[in-house]
Amino acid sequence: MTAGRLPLNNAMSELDLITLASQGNRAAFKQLYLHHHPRVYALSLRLSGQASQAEEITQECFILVWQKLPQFRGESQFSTWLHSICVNQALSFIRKQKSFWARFIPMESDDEHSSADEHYQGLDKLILKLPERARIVFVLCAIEGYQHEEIAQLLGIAVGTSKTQYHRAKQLLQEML
Amino acid sequence: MSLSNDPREAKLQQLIDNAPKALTPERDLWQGIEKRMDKPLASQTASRQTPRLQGAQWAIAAAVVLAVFFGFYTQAPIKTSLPEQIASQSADDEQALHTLLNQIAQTHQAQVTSLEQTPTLVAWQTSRFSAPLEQGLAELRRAGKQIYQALQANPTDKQLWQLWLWVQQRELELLQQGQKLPIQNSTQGNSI
Repeated sequence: MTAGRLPLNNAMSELDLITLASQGNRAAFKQLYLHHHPRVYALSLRLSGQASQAEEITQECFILVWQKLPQFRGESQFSTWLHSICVNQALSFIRKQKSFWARFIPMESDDEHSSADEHYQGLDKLILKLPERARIVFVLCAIEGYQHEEIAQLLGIAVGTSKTQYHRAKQLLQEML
Repeated sequence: MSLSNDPREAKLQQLIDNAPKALTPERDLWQGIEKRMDKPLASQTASRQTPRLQGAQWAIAAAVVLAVFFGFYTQAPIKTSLPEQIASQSADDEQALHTLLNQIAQTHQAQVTSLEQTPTLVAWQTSRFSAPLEQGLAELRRAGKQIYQALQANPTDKQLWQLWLWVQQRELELLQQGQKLPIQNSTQGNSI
């Protein structure tokens, strides 16, 4: 198995790793994963609000990146490209979970939230307690720096709704402090 | 950034500013990724797309057959004014619908069996999400059975047909989602 070992030169640039990975080199792809997965996981966790879902989104995201890597032309930074894939993957995952599972089981998993409280600190501890839509808007706007117009387009909502959800999230977070 | 006298707003802003950009997951996710990378890309894509594609093709075929039937069924009484012919035609149509009903049920069952026999599905029963998954499947199958029985009694009910096809499609989707669930044990042998 090549992925377990690191036959690559440690001084190799990210561009070299991307080139190798896009040609099917798993060791190179693992290096990219090791470098970027904490960022992808953080974003997935904050958007989904659940550690188990964040893990799944992160995995799905890197599988997708592995498949799409040959299409990466380097017109933007790799991290920007990855970030965009991650956001789309997370939102799509959440949408699917909501539209499908909600028909059969209650989606609010209090156990998961309470256990998450113990593992995360600061803002993350509070974010996980926010209602889903307010959390997503808040994360994209306050942490990831998206404009309300971009959020509205991503979520298929009105710009005004995005702003309302953002203020609601801020209010709820302030009440939690 | 707007200045505020509210100490809570200032504290929240401070928390946002200090929020880490990266977090480490509690478990190693690479193994799961690597396992799925092992599959050849073409077959991986094909295996993921085939059931959905088959489902879609099957749904389209069923919709076309239904559309042709209902189109014919609604226009037939206009073309002939003889009550005997209408009654005879109606009986034939109902028979055809019963046949179609059975064929679709068999096709669906074959798809379900095919999905259940794929190796990855064996493992989802060990996932912590298996209970809701099984609950969802049981719910869908119960609903499907009831609708099937209602359709046998009344095969010309268009809404029942749509509902039945929808329920079958959801069942297939749920089975496919089940294959993606994280697992705790890779094989039964581990726990023996």
